[in-house]
Amino acid sequence: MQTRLKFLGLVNDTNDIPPTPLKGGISGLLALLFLFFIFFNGSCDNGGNNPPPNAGMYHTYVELDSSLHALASAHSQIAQVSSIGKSVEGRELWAIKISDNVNAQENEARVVLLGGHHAREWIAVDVPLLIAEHFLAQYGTEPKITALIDNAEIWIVPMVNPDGHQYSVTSQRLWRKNRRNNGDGTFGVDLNRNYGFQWGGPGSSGDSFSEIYRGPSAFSEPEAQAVRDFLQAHTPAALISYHNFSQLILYPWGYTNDAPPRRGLLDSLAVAMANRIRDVHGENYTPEQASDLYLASGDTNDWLFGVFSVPGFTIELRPRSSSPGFELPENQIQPTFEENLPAALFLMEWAIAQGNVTL
Amino acid sequence: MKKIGWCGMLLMSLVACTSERADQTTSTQQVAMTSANALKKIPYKSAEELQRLRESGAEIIVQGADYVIVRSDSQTLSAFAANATPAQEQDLIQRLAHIALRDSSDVQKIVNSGVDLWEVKSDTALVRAFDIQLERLRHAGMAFRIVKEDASKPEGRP
Repeated sequence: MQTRLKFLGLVNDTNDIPPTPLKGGISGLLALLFLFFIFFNGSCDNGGNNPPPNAGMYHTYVELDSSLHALASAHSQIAQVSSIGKSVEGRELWAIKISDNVNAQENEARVVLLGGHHAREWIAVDVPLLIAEHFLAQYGTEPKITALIDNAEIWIVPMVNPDGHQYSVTSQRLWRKNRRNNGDGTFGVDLNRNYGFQWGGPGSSGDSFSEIYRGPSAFSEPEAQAVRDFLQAHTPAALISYHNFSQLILYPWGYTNDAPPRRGLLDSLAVAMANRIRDVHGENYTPEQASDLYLASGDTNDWLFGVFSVPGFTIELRPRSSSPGFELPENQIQPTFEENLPAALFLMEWAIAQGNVTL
Repeated sequence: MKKIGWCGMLLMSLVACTSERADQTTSTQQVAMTSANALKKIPYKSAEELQRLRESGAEIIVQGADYVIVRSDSQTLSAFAANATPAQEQDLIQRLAHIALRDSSDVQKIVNSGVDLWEVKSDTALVRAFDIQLERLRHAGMAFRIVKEDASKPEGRP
């Protein structure tokens, strides 16, 4: 306010204010101007008179930020929040680490859960967040979860694409990509086509307007760079990347129909997770090699497997079909979490059994 | 300042305020305008004008009711330069379309066209696509049916 008044020459030189036809005279005019500035400054500073972003029972970026920090504060012995990097628009990419001796980097199996690569897939943010909440709430009560936290480092990054998610909440529900200004009138890079293993291959696009635009180069996007750097520094024994929709459990490769090394193991892990999911509410998640769906290049799990030989799985959450598609009703958040919890537990237990040894 | 009067001051303050909000949009437009193959919006009033645009060699990414979004160099678009403006994000509308599948290899062709593939059933695929992508599929011999003209927003939402 002060800056703008100075800019207009109204702060230090009030004698310059001209006579006014208003009955209130100078004081009335000043009051009018004051109200005017208050109104427009307020409008400018918060981007207009828009209400705060609201995604109903789904978490917005601000709500996620708040929830993660509240969790870490309430469970400071076993939970720690940190940022793994920043988005194009400068939002922090929050991660929560869950482990006993959380301040130490121990020689324990590490498992990473990623969510929200794609903006419109809101359930893919809430499921990993609910898993984090459940783990922290049950530590010391539920033996299986207590053992996991005591013997593993669990890292959860619920929202890899906060800019896109925010845009999906406020402007265009079906937005998928991040919010990179491509410089040609289009916005966004598909973060799950931006990873650097077999980048640029089939199932990605060089058209900047495309929803599967791979970006100008591998790891061109700060969000993908942040995940890359984080996984290089904290290489896990296993990873799940949550997406929706279709109810699938996908394992590498995505870029080729060729079978990956040790395909049998990858398939058996995916089948085991699918069985555990079905046992909860009877929902079928189909386990398959990602390329069985169609070829897609530059995704998280191909990079993780191609560079580190670490098994990573894409779980496409509810619903099964395009109706309701990305707009999963809020009453399905909880059951989707419930059925995915034992699958995550299974993979974590498997990781602990391996030590922190990659395939 | 004395000569401007209080109405002038109000106007100036409004400009100062709104210019802050417009900064980001302005910089976006500047970036777009400096890019060699920036997308441009060109209005058209008749089928003949539209045909001339097509014949110019410009890639028509979106064909709206009275405008097209094109990608082309300035030389190709020289005849239309007077009316061309930088494309705005809200002009880049996509269609929701069902594409008939002839065999399993069609799915990969659809993905490689750059569309947003939502669902594959035994004989159809549901995609969200720009007009140029649907044209690519048509050239590849595929048949499609548009089920929603503007699929930027979900049903039932503003």
